[in-house]
Amino acid sequence: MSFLKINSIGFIEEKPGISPSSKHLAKLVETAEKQDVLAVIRTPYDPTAPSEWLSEKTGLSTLTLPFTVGGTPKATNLFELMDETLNQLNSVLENR
Amino acid sequence: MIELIELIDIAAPALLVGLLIAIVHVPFGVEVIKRGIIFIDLAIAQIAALGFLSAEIILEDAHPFIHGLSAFVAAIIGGIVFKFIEKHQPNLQEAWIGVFFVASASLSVLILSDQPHGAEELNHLLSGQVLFTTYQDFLFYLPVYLILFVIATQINRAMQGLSFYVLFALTITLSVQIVGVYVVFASLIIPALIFTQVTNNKFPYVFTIISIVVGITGSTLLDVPAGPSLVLTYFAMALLSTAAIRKNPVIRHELPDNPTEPNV
Repeated sequence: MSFLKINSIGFIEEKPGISPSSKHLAKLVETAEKQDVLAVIRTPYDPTAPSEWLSEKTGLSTLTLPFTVGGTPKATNLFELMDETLNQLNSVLENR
Repeated sequence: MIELIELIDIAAPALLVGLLIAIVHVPFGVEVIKRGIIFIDLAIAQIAALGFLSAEIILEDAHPFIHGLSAFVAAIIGGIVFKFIEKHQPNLQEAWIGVFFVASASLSVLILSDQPHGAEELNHLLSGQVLFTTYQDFLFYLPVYLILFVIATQINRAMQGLSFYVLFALTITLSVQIVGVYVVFASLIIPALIFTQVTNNKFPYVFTIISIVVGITGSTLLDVPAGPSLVLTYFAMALLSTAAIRKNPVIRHELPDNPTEPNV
């Protein structure tokens, strides 16, 4: 993401695999509301409930980026992986 | 102060859903203890998880609803199998239930072994994700659990024969997907454990309500994950209540194997 100059402002799970506390989630929602945030991003293998929950709380849209080749049906090789990722990011940019 | 409002907004739906699930679990837990098949909830939960995971792997692109449905189908099949065992080998039923638990747990690990983040997925299934519930979720679950509760407590024959296993499978499968295996086990068994020690039928409900409220509030204030906090609150409440009951003969229900008097 760094070559696109996109910053990650927070993670739903501070420690991967450990469910977050309510304080952490409150902070995350607050940060999302204060800053100019593009979207909530998840990988295809993450459970859907947490990102849907954050989307609902913040009004941001959730993107399921392929993460790797084969992550989504369209991402069949490295070029398609980048295309698919950029297309998704572009579509949120256009719609805001 | 904004943070406090935000905190309440996040914790409140979890609290409501937690209370709903815990209250509905009380009659089921009492029945499970009475039958002496404690591990049935772990086994049913694990079989449901197995159904869910298999559907996720085999029918990769199917709607999440299909995954949920597979969990219910697997759990009900598990319930029917346990009923079958009850009929043919009643004295070995608990042992068989334990065997089915380890078998389905191992099969889940095998299924997830080539999946990225399989271990995380298993962990979520065990400790649950109750904080991601919303008010809409609560309104959706409310009638479902109310119906299960009314059937379990008002219809005399509901807790007998096959219908117990089917009702139990439905309830546990739904609950596991919301609060995880550990909270399901604690909220079933611990209030029922208290129930067998007291004469007052309403006490387990009060007990479970206090445990959930203290657990969710505590986890919010201490900034720790909700699921494990709930289980530990139940545990602490069980120790405290048992000590209190043993000191107070008015509320104590004499257990036949409990002749010794504690140091009064």
